[in-house]
Amino acid sequence: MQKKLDRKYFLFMLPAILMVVGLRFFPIGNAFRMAFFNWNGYSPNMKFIGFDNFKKALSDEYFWIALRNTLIYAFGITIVKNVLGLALAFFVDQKFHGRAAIRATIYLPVMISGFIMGQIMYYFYQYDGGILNEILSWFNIEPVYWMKTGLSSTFVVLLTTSFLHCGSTMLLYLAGLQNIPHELLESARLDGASSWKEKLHITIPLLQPSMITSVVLNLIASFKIYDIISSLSKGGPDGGSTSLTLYISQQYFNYNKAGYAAGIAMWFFFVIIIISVPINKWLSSKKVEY
Amino acid sequence: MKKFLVCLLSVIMVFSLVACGGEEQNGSGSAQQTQEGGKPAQQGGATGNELAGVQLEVAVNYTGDSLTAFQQICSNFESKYGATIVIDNYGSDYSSTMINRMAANNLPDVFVTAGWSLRRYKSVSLDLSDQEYCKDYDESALGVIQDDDGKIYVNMISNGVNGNVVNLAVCEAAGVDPFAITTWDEFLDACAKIKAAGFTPIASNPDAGLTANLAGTFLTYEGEVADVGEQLKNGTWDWAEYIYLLKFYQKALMSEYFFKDARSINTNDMYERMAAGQAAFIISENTASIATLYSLNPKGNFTFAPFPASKAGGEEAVVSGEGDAFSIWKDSGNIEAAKIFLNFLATPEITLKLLDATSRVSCQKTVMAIDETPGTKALAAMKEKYAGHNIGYHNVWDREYLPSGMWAYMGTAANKLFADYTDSGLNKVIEFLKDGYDNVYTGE
Repeated sequence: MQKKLDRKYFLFMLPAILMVVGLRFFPIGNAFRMAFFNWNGYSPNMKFIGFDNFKKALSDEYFWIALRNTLIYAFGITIVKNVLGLALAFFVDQKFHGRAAIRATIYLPVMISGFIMGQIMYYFYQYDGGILNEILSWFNIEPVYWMKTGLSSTFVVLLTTSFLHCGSTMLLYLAGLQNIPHELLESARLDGASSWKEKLHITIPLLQPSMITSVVLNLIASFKIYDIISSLSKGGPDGGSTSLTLYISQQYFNYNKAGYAAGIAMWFFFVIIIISVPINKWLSSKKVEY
Repeated sequence: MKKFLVCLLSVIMVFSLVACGGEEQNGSGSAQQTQEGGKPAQQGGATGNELAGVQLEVAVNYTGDSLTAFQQICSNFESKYGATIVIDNYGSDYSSTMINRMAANNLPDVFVTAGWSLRRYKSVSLDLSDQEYCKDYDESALGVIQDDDGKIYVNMISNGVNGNVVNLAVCEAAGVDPFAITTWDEFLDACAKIKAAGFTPIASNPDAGLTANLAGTFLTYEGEVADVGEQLKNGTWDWAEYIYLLKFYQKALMSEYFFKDARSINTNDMYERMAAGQAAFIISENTASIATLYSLNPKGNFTFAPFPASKAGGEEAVVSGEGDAFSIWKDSGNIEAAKIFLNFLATPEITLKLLDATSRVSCQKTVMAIDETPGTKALAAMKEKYAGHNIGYHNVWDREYLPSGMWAYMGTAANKLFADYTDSGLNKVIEFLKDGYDNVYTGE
């Protein structure tokens, strides 16, 4: 009877299993296979070259720049978005006139394509006539070339993405704030806790589940950053702000190096595993009890 | 009852799917995926009957408005001749799909050559030299599509003409006569005057056009500082002479003739600054961009100029690439119908419809005479203003001299150049291009 039941449940799961295998495991497996070939992405001829693509990546200057930038994007955006999202959540959790409109305004950029937002934000950072430099000129400050170097462009992309997408983090924290029992906050107030102490010792520790969700989601999204870089800095100057996802795409589609792109993708996969496993382990060890 | 309902709904669903899958598609309505090419279908067309029962497979790379316009043109053809046209629209996968189809010897009856009528598709294309439209080509087009033995394999409706774009108002304000410039040294002298007058001489941003399109004026055209065309074509060139082109840019960059933020400026911004009268030249631009500049500043005064020569007496150059160009598969089973289709496309009213949608420049004299688009007018004006100059019309340089796949390397090289234009930076650019060239040749 139990076996029959198990088989029935397995049949229910089968469509989902097939989708996961077909849409996740098969592409990953195929990319892994491609990484061992010299292939341009469309030719019927694929030449087996063993680990050459993996070795080549290690001596590729642009691979290391892209890896460095990807780590900056992943951790930088996660940190800035969480700090901003938390601050904004505290702000819009207050009762004031127009609160709903402000929440919607903060969230709005999340719903617009990153490619479009990158194009719009370009006009903020332009050296000549950009909005930021116009503001500086009001105070007689010399214009700044915000995207002069690869590293400065990386930070421009990082801050832009964080500011534009902090609305999603704000929503997560807002949901967390509204789940905190009011009795706990009232008790703290009755015991004479200041607003700052209340936040530091009661609210923030109790927001830990939201924080874990937010960190994990932002880390995953930031590792895959592509659209804003592509339209804001195009990965430049001279590849200085490229992320690994953009670099993989360029190698595959611009240079027709599908095998090499797959090799880099495998390194990327390896880096994500190394980073995400301990973080997940640490975060899942944290538990909150009301 | 429930079982009956489930069975009934399943049967209805299956029949719906079969019905949807089996629906007849014709070319005028929608683009569809690959099918066997060159086989006549047993179905008729609409009102005409000259080609009734013939099905032409046409492969294109159009998207958006261009695709809609092309579908409408095909629909008109179907109505007039009774043939059916099946459009294979491969969009951005066009080149790779066509290469695969060529390898499988299974090409469509008619296909867009996308810049490669001679070097890639010549061996599989029908010689069209005897067609009427081939006698009507402008010289700027012949340099692109005519083989060394005088044969033409394509009906080219439009071409992309590339040279320098000039803001005449800025030149006038700076006291520069752009029509007197014949060499790149004179161009740099003009830049100095323009800068002294308070303008930025060059609006260009780093892209492959800068490192590829004008390279012939240093390396391969008649009377230039180097002559390495043969080595380039047989794959033995070591890129040493490319330093002449890089030194030109080095001078311009060191003299601050580009915008200070040139390395990160985007193309829209470049056009806006040019249209607003902040800069005098854009190096390596398509004539179609003149239309963009006039749309941004209708009161502006812009013109098109050839690339200057690298030394006095050398050949100035205008480079052209294939625009809307169609070939016929030499093994097609519908060669006569395909010829009728290409002649239909070459009629001025049909050509103008396509030009209107693609914003390209006409290249057949009959159409050029009635084409009022700014790009075409600019090319005509250039010929008039530069009448006394020694101008050569050439195929796009990388298509003529470099193996397929170098364009991306040329773009990266331009970015590297703008990021570091010291002597050691120039050497790095050369090393990078040499590696890319070797990789592309060996397929690694």
